[in-house]
Amino acid sequence: MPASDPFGDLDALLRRCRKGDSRAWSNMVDRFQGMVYSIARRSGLGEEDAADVFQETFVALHRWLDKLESGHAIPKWLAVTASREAMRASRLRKRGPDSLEAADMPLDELLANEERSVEDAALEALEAENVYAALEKLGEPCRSLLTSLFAVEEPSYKDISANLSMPIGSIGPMRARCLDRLRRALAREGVLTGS
Amino acid sequence: MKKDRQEEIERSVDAALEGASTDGLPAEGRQAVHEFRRIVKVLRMPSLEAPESVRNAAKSLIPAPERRVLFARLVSSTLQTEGVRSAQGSFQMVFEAGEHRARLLYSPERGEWRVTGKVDGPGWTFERKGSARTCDAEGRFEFRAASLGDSAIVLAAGDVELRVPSAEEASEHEPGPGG
Repeated sequence: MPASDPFGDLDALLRRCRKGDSRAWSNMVDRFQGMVYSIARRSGLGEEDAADVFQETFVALHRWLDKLESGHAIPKWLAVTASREAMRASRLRKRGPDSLEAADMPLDELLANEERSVEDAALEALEAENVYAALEKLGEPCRSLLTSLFAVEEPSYKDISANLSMPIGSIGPMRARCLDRLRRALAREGVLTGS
Repeated sequence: MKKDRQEEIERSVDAALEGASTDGLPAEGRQAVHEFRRIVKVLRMPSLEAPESVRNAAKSLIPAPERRVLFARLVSSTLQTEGVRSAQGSFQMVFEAGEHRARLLYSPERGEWRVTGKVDGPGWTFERKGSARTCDAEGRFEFRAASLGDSAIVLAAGDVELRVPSAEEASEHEPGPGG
């Protein structure tokens, strides 16, 4: 019988972290490091501030391990916490004319705006996390094709054809099929509901 | 996939990527375009990974316990005369360290090696290439290795860490008694 992977289940992962299992905790950090770090960097923070936000977020998670309802609450909890920490770090960086105290807006309105920004950033990060996870599960050739097609440098169909050994004429139809498969997978998981 | 359906999907994807108006499309079509746009927006975001030092700092919040490291030695092998480099078929190796024993069976499969193993009893994990997996209740585990030089693993339980060399490294030493 092959070995089992105990970290596929977030509830099991949370239980092991609560017991002080260092491997489970390490897996927790690895699993969500991309999402947490992305939130910090996309909020405009430099590497050093983003590293601080990252550490503060996981320190908070470590403190809250016993209070979280279930493992399934972890992704959203982390996204919201990281967004809040990033917002706080951004605000501290901007002391001066753009700071909270100096803005021409009532404080309660400023705080409400800030809370909305935190929520928006968290939801965006969660959606991204779900898309990446679903893309991983799609397997090949969709995973490589979609990753190549929408990479930052956006290579040509000719380059993609050469790299993936795929006829150029098949890339367009395959792109559509893979995106549709990804869309249906996300719809089954309840992601992408609402506008 | 039927041709009409394929064409409909391609049109929706093109509309999403070109930012075309969805006026005139049925509700289902507008929803599909909208969803494709959200997906593509995510796919276009650069993927950011935290630097290793940053990850390690967070991981240190629950530090790994000190482990007693034992180096497993080969005690028997079914490859006694031909050697690992010319191995064509399956073969078995038995390793020991302290009071612990691990049996590994190496089987060639589609250009790589499938390795199935068993260590004594429950509670073990095996680690390879930076990731850890739990062995089953009887101490069994399985993994794939690109080559026999790439088959080293670490078995851990409690405060014990058993380092099992690759089959290639192990075969460079004579097996001990019982081989």
